[in-house]
Amino acid sequence: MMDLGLSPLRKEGFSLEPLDSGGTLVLELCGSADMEIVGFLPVYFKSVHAEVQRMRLAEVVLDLHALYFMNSSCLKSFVTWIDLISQLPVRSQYRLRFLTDPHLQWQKRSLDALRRMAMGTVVIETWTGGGQ
Amino acid sequence: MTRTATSLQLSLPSPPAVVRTTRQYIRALYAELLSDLDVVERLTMATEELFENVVKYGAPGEASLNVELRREGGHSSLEVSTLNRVSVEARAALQACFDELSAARDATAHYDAVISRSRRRTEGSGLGLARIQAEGEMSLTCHFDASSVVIAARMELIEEGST
Repeated sequence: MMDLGLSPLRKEGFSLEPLDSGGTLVLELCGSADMEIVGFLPVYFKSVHAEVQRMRLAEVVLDLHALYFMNSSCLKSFVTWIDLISQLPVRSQYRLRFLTDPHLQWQKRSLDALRRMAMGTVVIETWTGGGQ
Repeated sequence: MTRTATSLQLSLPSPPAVVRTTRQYIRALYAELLSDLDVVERLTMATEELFENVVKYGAPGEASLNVELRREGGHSSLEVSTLNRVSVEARAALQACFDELSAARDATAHYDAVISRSRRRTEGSGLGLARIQAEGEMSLTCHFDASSVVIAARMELIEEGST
């Protein structure tokens, strides 16, 4: 069981829940990540980054299967996070494993752009339900 | 020819909530008209990005958003456009952005370069227009007059079994 120093982020039309899934940190994003959320995400991801280092985790799972929309400003929050990871010593770098819904085709388009930016950091998989 | 047009007029400054409401309305409306969910998602994304720019960067005054679906024979097209007043500074930044977009030979390579450049950017993402072009697979145009700007994103459609 992890001692998660992270709280849920809940706003109208959007939620981000940190979960301990058998020793893996899962962030479950639901709803729409848009203009009304963008002020909160960079701060939240920075705190996740600190927690991951504190707990020496090898990856964070981002479950996006119920995330229906993301604007470019929120996408940029991921870009900044990936940049933070790239600045760590190689042995401390960790992966971001995205779980996606193939019916939401924007997810593949947007996440492919992140993967091209950081091939070793960004992993994209299809959400199959349950704890992964 | 059949034409379905949606137009929204607003007065700037407007609260950010208007962007979400508008995006959701456009998505619901065009999901009824188009059979391809991917097209609806690309339209929704372009609507969000363009309209968000209007609300964030448009100069005070009247502004509008227009979405138009045209069907003629076997050919269809979708266009989303915005009109707003623009400051001298915003106009120069926008012109520079469109100069880059039009010079780019490959929309994806340009998008990747813009993403890379945005890594440590603190104001705005700067990704919206490049995203429309690359992820949305839409062509973009920009026209200025004395004090306003019209930006349009357009896609040609191949529709099968549409209503």
